[in-house]
Amino acid sequence: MIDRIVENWLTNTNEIGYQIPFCQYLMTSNFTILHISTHGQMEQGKDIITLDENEKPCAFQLKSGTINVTIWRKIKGEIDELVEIPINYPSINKDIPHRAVLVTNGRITDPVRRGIDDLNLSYKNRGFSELELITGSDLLKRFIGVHGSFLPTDLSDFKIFLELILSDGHELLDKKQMSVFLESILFTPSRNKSEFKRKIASSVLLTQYVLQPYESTNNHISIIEGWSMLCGYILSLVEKTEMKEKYWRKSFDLILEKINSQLERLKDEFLSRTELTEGAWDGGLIYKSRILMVLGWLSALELYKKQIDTNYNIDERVYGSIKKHYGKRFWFWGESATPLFVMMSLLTWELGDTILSDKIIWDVINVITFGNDLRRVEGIPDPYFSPKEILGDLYQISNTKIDKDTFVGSSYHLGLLVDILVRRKKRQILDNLWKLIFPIQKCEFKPKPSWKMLIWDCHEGQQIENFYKTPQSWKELRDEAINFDNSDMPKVLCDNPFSYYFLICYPHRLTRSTIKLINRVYTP
Amino acid sequence: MLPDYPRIKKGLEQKFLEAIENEIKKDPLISRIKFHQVHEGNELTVSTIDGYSETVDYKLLTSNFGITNDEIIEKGPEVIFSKVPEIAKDIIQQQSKLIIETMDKATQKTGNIVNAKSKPLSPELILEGLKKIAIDFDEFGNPIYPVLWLSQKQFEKIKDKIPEWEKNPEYKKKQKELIEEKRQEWLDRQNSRKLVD
Repeated sequence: MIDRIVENWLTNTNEIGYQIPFCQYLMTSNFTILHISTHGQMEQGKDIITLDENEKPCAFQLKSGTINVTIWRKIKGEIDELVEIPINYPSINKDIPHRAVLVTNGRITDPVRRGIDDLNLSYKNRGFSELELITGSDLLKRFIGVHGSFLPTDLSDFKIFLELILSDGHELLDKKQMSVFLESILFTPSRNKSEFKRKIASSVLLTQYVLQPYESTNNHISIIEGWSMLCGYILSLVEKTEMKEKYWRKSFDLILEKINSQLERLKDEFLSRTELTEGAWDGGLIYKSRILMVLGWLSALELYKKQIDTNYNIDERVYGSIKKHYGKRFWFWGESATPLFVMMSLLTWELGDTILSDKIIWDVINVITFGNDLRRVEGIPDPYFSPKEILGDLYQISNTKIDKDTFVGSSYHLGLLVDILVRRKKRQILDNLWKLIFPIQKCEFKPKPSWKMLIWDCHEGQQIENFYKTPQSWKELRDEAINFDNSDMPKVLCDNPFSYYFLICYPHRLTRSTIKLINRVYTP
Repeated sequence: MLPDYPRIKKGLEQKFLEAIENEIKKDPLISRIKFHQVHEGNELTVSTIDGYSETVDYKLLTSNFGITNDEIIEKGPEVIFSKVPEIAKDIIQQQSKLIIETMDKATQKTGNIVNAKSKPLSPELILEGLKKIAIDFDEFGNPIYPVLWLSQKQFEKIKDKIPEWEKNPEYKKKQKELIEEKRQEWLDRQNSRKLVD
């Protein structure tokens, strides 16, 4: 079964689609990945730069489909660059000839092979390495060899697997379904730690496979969320088993690389488009939720990049877009939107626009306190409801109706929003809002044990619900907002910039504690 | 692509079509016509009970409406739904025209026409028209009259005269006689609906 599945995926994907599983294969074959070209664009004919198992530099160019004479003529220039131009990478000695490999998920026709044989003689005579070839059938064997048989075996899990691969690639990813799929691969019993490594490697391939419908439509957010969920599940396994870095770090970094490059593509598309609608029946809340989602994720990307490189200059175009759209083109559909607003607030804060940054938090507090006021009949959905579910309910299209009366009088995110303003010493703003804030009950779920925070649906843990004190001491409020008790936090998340992505992808895990993973600095 | 909700949009589209259909069904003429969905093919052959048969192609009825891009972005699907009465009105006009044309064609063919010769509509003309068509009766023996379809202008001309016509003993008598004649025809039709030989 695995052979057929991998073959089906491999023959239908493009070079971007199999880039990550191929890197995963290289890593398992003891190659060291040095560079993966972003945006799927080659740099001097090189998509992937590595050191092979003997520490020899090796560059790969990835193609898709059959390479016949016509295609070969078109790519010949790139192949020459791949072979003849030295690898330009800091730790690689340009004087050492590098290996050059052309990879395709299709086949290479005989006339082209003969042409390559002739060309290799010429390369050899001129002191370059010969061009090596990896075709679709080689790739298939290598993928199957490395990834083994980690396909879901349980019938219900297999049904979910099939549903995922048959999904409409234009939809937003069904995260609940994705979580069940990931659990069926990663949380099966393992004999030893090295099997974890193989399992993680397999999950990369299978995730790429189930995300193929979204890859083919360039559905950036769904791709990003799918990979972010895999990162979350890998980290949960790491935390649960106290796995050493050597078993997971490379795969994890590879996936993060994929997430970042997909976010860059999202940024390119968003900033280059003059029209942000998607087909018919657009506009209104659909449009507003889209803008919010995109700018929330792009803010997270900028914050991520700033955290890993303090010299990084935040892309002002993202900030410009937030300013352009804020106030008229955003919709707070429910508390699953809070992390997106928080990211935009943190980004504008980072750029020194404290007024807009505070306003974003102030606005969300206002929406929640007014929306969930005890006198109202219906409240704002909690973070467990996706925008798709909320829109479906609003337009009476989904089968399940959301009981919005159950949200009245409580909030999962009010406390953490108040904490942000407390850390910024915005006492006056909070004084003005306090009459609205104090009657709202604060809710929080603490998964037990802590590694379960990284899984989507947790059956063990404690729901904590409380109110602010009347009167509430500002000093106490400040102490709570500043103190960071990470005892019940997965260690793998602490000081991990992936937290930005995790908290958007898992909005129900955004709490007064987890917000401190990305925002705990007190403004003196 | 940027995030989207195809399933919700499909649902909205379906609701929109339903809303138009419901609005169209409110029209007095169209509400009298029995509709059913044809699932396949591109032409239709219909034979009436009295043997008149015709093959027709389906006609596409379309309606255009304008919404600015700013309106769409600002208000979303709601702005499209606000156009339902306008679209329904347009479709009703097209459908009514088509119905009249079809009836006209059929009556021309069958000769089922009463030529008023420029005379105003009167009870005599109505009775003459009724004579030319078959009338059914309900289970209590009451006639099921057909609908008299007039333009607004024609209706304005006769509406005040109708009570007077209804009270006129001469017309009442003629109408009664005609109904009895039609009842007999109906009974004959009913009796002929049997398997023989």
